[in-house]
Amino acid sequence: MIVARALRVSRARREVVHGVSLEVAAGTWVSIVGPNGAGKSSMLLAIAGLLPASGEVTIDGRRLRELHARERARLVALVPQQPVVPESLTVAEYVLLGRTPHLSLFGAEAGRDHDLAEQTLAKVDLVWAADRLVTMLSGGEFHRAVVGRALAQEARVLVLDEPTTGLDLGHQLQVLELVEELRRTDGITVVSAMHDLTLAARFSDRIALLVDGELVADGAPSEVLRPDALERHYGVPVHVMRGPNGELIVVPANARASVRP
Amino acid sequence: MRHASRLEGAQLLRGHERPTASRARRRAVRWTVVGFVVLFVSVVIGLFTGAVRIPPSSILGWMVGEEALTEQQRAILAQLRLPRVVLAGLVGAALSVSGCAYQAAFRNPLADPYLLGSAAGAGLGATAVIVLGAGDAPLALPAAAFAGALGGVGLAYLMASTRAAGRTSTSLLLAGVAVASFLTALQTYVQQRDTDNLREVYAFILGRLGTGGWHEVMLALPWVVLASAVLLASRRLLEVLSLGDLEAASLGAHVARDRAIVVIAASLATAAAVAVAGLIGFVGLIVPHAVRMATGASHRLVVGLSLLFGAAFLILCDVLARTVVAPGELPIGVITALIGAPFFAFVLRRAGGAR
Repeated sequence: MIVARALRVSRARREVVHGVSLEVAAGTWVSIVGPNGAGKSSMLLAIAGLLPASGEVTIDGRRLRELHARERARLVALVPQQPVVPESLTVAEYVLLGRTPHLSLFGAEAGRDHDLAEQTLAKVDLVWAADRLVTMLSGGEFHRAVVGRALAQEARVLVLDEPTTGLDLGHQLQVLELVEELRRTDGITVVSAMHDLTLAARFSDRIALLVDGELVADGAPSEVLRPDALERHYGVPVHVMRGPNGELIVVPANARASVRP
Repeated sequence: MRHASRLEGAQLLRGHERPTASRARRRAVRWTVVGFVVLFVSVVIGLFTGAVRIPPSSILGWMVGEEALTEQQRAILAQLRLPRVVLAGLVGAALSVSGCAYQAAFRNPLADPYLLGSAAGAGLGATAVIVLGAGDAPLALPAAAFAGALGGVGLAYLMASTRAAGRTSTSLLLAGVAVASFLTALQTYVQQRDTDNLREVYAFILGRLGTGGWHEVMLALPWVVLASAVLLASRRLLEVLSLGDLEAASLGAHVARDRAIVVIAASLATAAAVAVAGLIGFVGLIVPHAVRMATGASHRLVVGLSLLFGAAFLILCDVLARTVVAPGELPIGVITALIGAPFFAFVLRRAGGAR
């Protein structure tokens, strides 16, 4: 259970999130959506305790600010928007870095850490790549390795910052389905910033719409993703449709058709 | 696909064949052995090289404790060549391991004690101490060199991390070059003001491997050992830091503190090297990169191998410095720069291509 209260985040001396509160029930997936520059990433990083913010974030009743960095990293793991691709690291070594919060400053990994990293490799389908260099992976495979590293932290909360940036449609689905499967089987809580509203609707239990650093809507995907609200905040007319299986599909409307004579 | 790999994962677990450990460990062992062999061969070559011919077989015999040498030969080896080889090895190891550490801590493939201004800072500190006449006071030289090294690298880092500079690897390097020039100019000023000590300062700046004896070895040894021990213990930390501030923090690293630990240890090693050998450029750039390219290994392994191969590299450079214009001697910095500058261009090309 994540509780964020009156979060204010400043970047480069400018406040970009203005006192937003958000609750995420344990084992659910909440997506933060909104136009570019709305403060999604800042909000997300503040929830992960990685940006200084006023207000308060608690995870399972523990105040993030009062925790040591290592303790915090055992509670919440981040999948960053554009992860650094390290040179000369194998996939196995990369995933093993996820054990960092469980090790002391100069400590080395023990057998249990290696076991866990291996199980994680299996979970993200990368056992075959264990000995390959991270730089040799495709974009989608690398994203799975990043998710694997986050999983190796054994955190109950997974924070994803636009996890599908730079991936094609198939790989986007692959990464999100992987996270969804882990949420279902391991019961982790997921908070993500998402650009693609259709994908956000498909995977999230709840959607929070953030505009100019303010929370303007928070609820089930079908409640939040309304054409009028989206048009107002994104500045373009959109259609919200139902797919063959009843799923929500959000597409920009044909601009010419929407212009009245 | 998923089922297949799960199965494979389970088999791996049962067979105790750890993909995360075994292969890497075998590679580490193999390269460590190679490193020790190369270092040993370099030491023998270093001991063999000199005006008085002493056959390698006698040297090897002497090394294992046989009475294979004349009194005079033993004196040459024990009092002249051995301390020089040991000093070159110590300095090479220190510069290489600190280059490796700087590269990881600043996430900059071109970071090097020489280019970051830490060597120039150490030079300024040491010169100031010599000029003030405190050069003979115990610890004064290493302490001043250490303060100068930290000051140099700190200044470069501060200059590069202003918002306008954008914190890119290029800005750190440019700042380092500016700081190094500034500190070198200051150092020249301090040295020229006081001509009494000019000879001593010059000898220092050009590198004192030639005049180095056991005294210099003992001066540098404790600091190089201490700094190397810290950096060896920080191997995993270097990997975490190389992921960048945000990701390192998300993994529970205390980024500012951890980077400070690494930078202080690297500057200590640099200062010890500069205090006994003067300014020798490019070693910290060449060795870690060459090791990384040859082994394909991560920071974890490169730290230790940089110590071994760095020692061997500088011992061999010193052999060249002694033989190329024999019976004269080139400053060793000339040799490392002749090898290092083209290598720098090569790394620059690679680093540029990777972006």
